[in-house]
Amino acid sequence: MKRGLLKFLCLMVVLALAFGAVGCSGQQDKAQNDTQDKEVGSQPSNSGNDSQKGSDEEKKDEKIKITFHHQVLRKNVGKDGQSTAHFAAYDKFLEENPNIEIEEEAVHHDTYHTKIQTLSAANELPDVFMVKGSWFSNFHKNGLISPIDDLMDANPEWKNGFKKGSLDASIIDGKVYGAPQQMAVTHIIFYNEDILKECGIDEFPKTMKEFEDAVVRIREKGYIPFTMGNKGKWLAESCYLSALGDRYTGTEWMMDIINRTGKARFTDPEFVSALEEMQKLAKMGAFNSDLNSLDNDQQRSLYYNKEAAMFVEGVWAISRTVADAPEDVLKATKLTVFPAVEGGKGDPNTTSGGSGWFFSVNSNIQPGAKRDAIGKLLEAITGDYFAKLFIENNGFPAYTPKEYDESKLADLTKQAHELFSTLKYTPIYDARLDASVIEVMNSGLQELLIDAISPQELAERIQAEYEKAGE
Amino acid sequence: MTNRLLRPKKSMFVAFLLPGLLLYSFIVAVPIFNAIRFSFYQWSGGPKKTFIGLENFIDLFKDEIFWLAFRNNVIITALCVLGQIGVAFILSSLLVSRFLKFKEFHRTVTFFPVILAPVVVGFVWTLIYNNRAGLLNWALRAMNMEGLIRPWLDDPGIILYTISVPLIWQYIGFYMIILMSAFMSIPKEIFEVAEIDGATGIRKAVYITLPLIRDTLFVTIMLCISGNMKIFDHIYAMTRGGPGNSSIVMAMYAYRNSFEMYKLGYGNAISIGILVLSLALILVTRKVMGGRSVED
Repeated sequence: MKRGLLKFLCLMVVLALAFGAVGCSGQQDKAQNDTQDKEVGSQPSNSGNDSQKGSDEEKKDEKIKITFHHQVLRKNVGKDGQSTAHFAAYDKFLEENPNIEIEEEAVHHDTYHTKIQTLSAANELPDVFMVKGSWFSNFHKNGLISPIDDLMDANPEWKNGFKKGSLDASIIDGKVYGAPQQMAVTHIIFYNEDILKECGIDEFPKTMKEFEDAVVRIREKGYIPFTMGNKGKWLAESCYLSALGDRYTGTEWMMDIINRTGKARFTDPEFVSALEEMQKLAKMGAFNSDLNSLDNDQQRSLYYNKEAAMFVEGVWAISRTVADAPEDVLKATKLTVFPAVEGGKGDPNTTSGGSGWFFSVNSNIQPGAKRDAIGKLLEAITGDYFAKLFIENNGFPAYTPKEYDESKLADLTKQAHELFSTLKYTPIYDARLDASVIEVMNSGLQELLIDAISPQELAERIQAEYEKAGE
Repeated sequence: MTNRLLRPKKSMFVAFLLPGLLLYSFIVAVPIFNAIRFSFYQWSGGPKKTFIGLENFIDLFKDEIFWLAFRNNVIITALCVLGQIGVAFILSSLLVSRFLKFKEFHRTVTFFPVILAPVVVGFVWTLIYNNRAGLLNWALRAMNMEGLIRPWLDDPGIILYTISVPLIWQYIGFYMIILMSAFMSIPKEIFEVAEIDGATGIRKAVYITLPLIRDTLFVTIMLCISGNMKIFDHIYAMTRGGPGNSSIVMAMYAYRNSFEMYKLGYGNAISIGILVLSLALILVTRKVMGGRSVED
C-alpha cells in the first residue's frame, strides 16, 4: 500500500516536471512588464478647460496622445551615439510641440524583441514602434503596420535625405513601411597594416587569388589570418556571406530571391561557389580553430593582442575598436572590403549595408491630426537634426545631414566614412530574408566552416526552407 | 478515519484544495491546452492564424532535426543517469561510511553547484572549455598532455560529452542528498549483521544498500529523466545548439522555431512532441523498473 502511494507520488512529480517543459512554449501571452524602464515623456499639462467647442480649428489645441515603444534607452545618453542623438532630438521635438503628448516605453533590446512579439500576438501594438528589417514581411502579412509614404511625401526634403539603400528593407510592394535611424554596414575588413607588411603584403590584395595567397602567408608567419567569433551564428552569414555572396551572385540574384520571382535559387552555382569559397578559406586555416565557441566581442580580443591579422565585422565594431584597442594596434588598423572575385557577377565596390531597425506606424492610425503628428515625430527622430548629432557622436545615420562638425570624429570613423563614400550597398542577408531561412543558413554555416557539411548540401537545405517559408 | 467528528466536511476539503488547483491549472493545465490548440495552426506571431489540422505534426514526424534533437536528449539523459546518480551513489556511500572525515564540508561542497543558476554554470564551463585561456587546456598543458588539447566546444564528434559534463557536475549534489537520506533510513543493525557475516564494502552496497533503496533510486531516475528531457539553459549558454545542430535538444528546437524562426504553431507542435516522447520514455522506464519489483 505504502509502496503504491510512493509510486503514485513519483509519477505525479515526474509528470509535473515534464509538463513544465511544455508550458514554456505557451507563454507568449505572458507580457513581460517587469523589466521596463517606463517613462512618460509628457509636457507639463496646460490645456485649459475651454475645449468645449468641437470645430476643427480648436482641435489643434487639444492634446494629441501618441503611444511609442522603442529600445533606445535614456540611461545610455552620453554612452552611445544613437541614444545621445535620439534623446536630444526627441526632447527638442517635445519642447517645440507642446500639444503632442507622448507615452513612451523604452526597454532593452533583448526584452524589446519579446515585448513586441507579445503585443503583436495580442494585436495591441502601440501607435509608433520599432521594427526589425526581417520582421516586415511577417508584420505586413498580419496587417499590423501601415505604409508611411503619405507622411514622407508631405515632407519631401526629409524623404530625399535618406541615403540610398537605407529604406530598402522596409519597402514592400513599392511602399515604405518604416523610417530608420542608423545605416548599418555589416561587412568591413579590419586589418593590421603592420602585421600584413611583416608577412610581405604591402598592399591589400585586389583579387581573390591574391587574397588566398595572403591568407597562406599570414598563416605561415604564425598569425591567425582572420579571427572569427561565430558562436552567435549570425556573424559568418551577416558579416562574411552577405558581402562575399554578392561578389559571386550579383545583387540582381539577391533581389530575385527577396522578391521571390522564381528566377533565383539558392542551389544556383553562383551561390554554391560563394559557400565553397567560405569553406575553402576555413580549410586553408584562415580562421581560428575555436570559431564556433567565441562570440563577436571575443573575436576582437585576438586582434587586439596581435594574435590575428584581421577580423570582419560591421560598423558597430568601429567605436568598440576605438575604445578598446591598444594604441599601436589602433594606429595600424585599416579598413577595407572583400576583393573582386574572378568571374563573379557582383560589383567589387560594394559591401553589405542597409538599415536594421525602423520606426513604423500602426495600421490603425487613420489620416488626421494624429497621423500628421506622428509624421512630425518620425521626422524629428530620424531627420537632419538627429543625423547631425548622431554622426558627430561617431554614428552612421541613415539620413545625410546637411552639415556636421568633422573634427568631432575619431580617425577610424573618418576612415570608414571615406571608405563608404566609394562603395555601393548590397542587401544584408539577415535584414532581408525570412527569419526561418536565416536560421537554417546560420546553423549550416557553422557546420560548413568545420567541414561537417558540403556547400551543395547546405545550399539544398537553405533552398528547401526558402520554399517552405514561401508557401 | 475512525473519528467522524474530527473529519472536516467535504466542502472544507474542496475549499482547501481550491487555491492549489487553481494555481496549477493556470500555470500548467491552461498553457498545455493552449499549446495543443495552437499546434493545429500555422501561426507566425501576429493576430492571423490559419488552421492547418495535423500538418504540423506530419512535418514534425518527418523533421530530421527534431529526431536528432530527441536522440541528443536521450544520449544526454543516459549519460546523466549514469553520471549523476552513479557518482551520487558512490559519494553518498562514502558520506555515510565511517571512514570519511569532514563530512559536513564534503556534503556542502558537493551540494553547492545545485543552487547555481544553469546559465551561470553554462558560462563558467564555457570559460573552462575555452581553447586559449580555458582551465582545462591549461591543465592539460601543465601536465604535458598537449595531444589532448582541442577546442572542446567546437568538435561535433565530442560535443555531447563535453556539454554533459557540466550537467552531471551540477546535479550530483541534488541526487546525493536524496540518496543519503535513503541510506540513513536503512537500519544500522542490518549492516552490523552483514559485517559479522563478512560482507565488505562493495558487497554491502550491492546486496544490502541497493535493494533497500530501490524505491528512492527509482524516484531519482525518474527525476533525472524528466529533468534532462527539458534541458535548455546550459546548452543555450554554452553552444546555442551548435556547431550547426550537433548539440541541439528538443526544448531548444522548440524555442528556435517559435522565437527565432517565428513558426509559433510549429513550435507548439514540437512542445507537444516533447510531452509525448517524455511521457513515453518515462512509462517505458517505469515498466522496466516496475517489472522487477513485482518479483519480490
